[in-house]
Amino acid sequence: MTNRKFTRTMLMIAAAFALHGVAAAQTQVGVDIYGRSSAQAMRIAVPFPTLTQPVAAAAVHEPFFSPLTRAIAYSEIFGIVALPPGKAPSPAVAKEAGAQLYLDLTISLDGANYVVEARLLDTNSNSTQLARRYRSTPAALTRIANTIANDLLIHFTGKPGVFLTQIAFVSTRDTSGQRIKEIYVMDWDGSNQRRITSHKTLSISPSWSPDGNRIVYTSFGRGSTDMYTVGREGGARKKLETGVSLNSSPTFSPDGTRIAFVGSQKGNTDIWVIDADGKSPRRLTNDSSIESTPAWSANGREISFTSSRSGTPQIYVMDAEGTNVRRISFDGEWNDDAVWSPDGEMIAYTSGVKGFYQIRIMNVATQKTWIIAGTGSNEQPSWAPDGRSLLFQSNRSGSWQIYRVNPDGTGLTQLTSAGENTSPDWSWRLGK
Amino acid sequence: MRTSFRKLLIVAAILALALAFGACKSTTKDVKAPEPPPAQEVEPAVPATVDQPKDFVQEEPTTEVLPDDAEELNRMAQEKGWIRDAFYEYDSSTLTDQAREALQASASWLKGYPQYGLIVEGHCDERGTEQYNMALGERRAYAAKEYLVSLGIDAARVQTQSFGEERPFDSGTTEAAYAKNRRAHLVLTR
Repeated sequence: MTNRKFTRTMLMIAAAFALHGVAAAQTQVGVDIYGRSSAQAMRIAVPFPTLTQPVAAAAVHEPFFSPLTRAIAYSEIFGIVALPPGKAPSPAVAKEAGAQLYLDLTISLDGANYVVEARLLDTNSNSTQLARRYRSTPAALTRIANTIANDLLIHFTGKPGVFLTQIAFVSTRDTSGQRIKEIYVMDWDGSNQRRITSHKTLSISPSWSPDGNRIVYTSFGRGSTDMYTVGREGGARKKLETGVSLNSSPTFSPDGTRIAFVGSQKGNTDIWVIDADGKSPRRLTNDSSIESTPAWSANGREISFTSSRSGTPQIYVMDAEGTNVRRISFDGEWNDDAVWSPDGEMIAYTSGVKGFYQIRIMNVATQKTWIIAGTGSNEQPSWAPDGRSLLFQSNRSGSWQIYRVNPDGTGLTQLTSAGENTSPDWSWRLGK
Repeated sequence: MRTSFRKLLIVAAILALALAFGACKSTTKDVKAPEPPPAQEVEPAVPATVDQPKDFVQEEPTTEVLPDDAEELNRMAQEKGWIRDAFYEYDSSTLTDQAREALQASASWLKGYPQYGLIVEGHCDERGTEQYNMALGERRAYAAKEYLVSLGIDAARVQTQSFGEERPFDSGTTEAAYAKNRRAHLVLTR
């Protein structure tokens, strides 16, 4: 139901067809220690599309051209080459400017729908590397831009980028009087921000289901706090009856069948798990200290969590059944918010260092850690589904906002600015 | 037989009381009656709206009309010190002596007004992390509830709810502001 609605309202991509055979990938792509491509970036020219009447440049620039160039620039296998002003763009001009590739785009209208043709040319041979035609309603033009960027990546690396993924987060922008927090969703690059809850209280800690169709979150009622699931575009919500209180920090298991969360009985907080359909709540930890903030490993066999059992909040890992508990964080006086990278090789967490919080990353195998240094307080990391970057919240600007950064500290980008925005959670599935 | 024994008991009791009273009287015999205060008019040294000492529990006359509106009721109850919040140390849910005093005062008022329920809200300062503070707030709220129950408040009257660091009472970033935000906040319900 949700799927069908989403498809109808968002996009009708006509069967894309190739005009020529796809040339074999020309570039050897290696992978660096962060899991990012280490290949020499291919220099690509992306001129503004050729428009057929009555398509207006203003209707295309923000919804299509901006997100397309943002996505290509993020991909890291491409470096965008600026074309000299005053000259009509062409593969020859692009070659002169040092570009190996030229993305030729034309946009026309067919009835109420846009038709976008994308052709990737080799500037040396003038041969077509890739050609696709896309068709959509005006509302889905941005989705076409992100789909083109994805197709370029698939062409060269065999894998899609993050450009069709979504980010859930918490925003205070609906506050009037007492602070209100609602759950929001935005595209991978911060565009298209929209509200999906309307409790008009405090709704926090969103977490995506692996299939990208649902979000679980915590919401405050009068005298009790509960977890709910809701569709990715909002709509009817379902309360999870756990039988315990607190119900904070919910997070879906990688197979989507369970939700780990923090439950409390008589004031003692432990890590609990409940089936995704709301059945069989059960406790995993059994300790008198504070336990909080569970996170599943990539393969679902382990769960990390925060515990104060040593005297300060530190990160622990246990088997998913609750056995074999071991401490893994030793740097920093207050550690919380652990999240596992999609390949399972790294854990990012919030680490208190001299009174400020920083995002710290640990190599799970070696237990070596490093910090993504930044001013202000930096908390609640969430990995990109391709593992190439992380989201986090920071108050460095004077208000809490969501940023994206690469694990080596480069590529810092602010994604939000309206109200205060926190608790980013990047969806799992690529190419959707 | 039985009646005469009872009479005997009563007589004995009266005798014992008389003896005790006599003894008591005799110890106070030597103490001088206090001097009457001087009859001069003196301006009170403190304003009439002096703050009550923190350990003072005000006994309200039963004729007091309590507002129907829950918000108004809570504002009045806090202002008059009928119910008082418990404050905590950094990253701690242990009740300090002051926190116990505040909860004792609250418990004795609550006993006189069994018609009200109570939500104990657990709050944290913003220095910790948000997720952990949700759990810490839960422990703070429950620690306060447990103490109220130990003082004779029916557990069924008291709900707990953690607010973590979501609803600070003071948005400042000084230790004084943080201290105000680490609390179990008592809210009356109908």
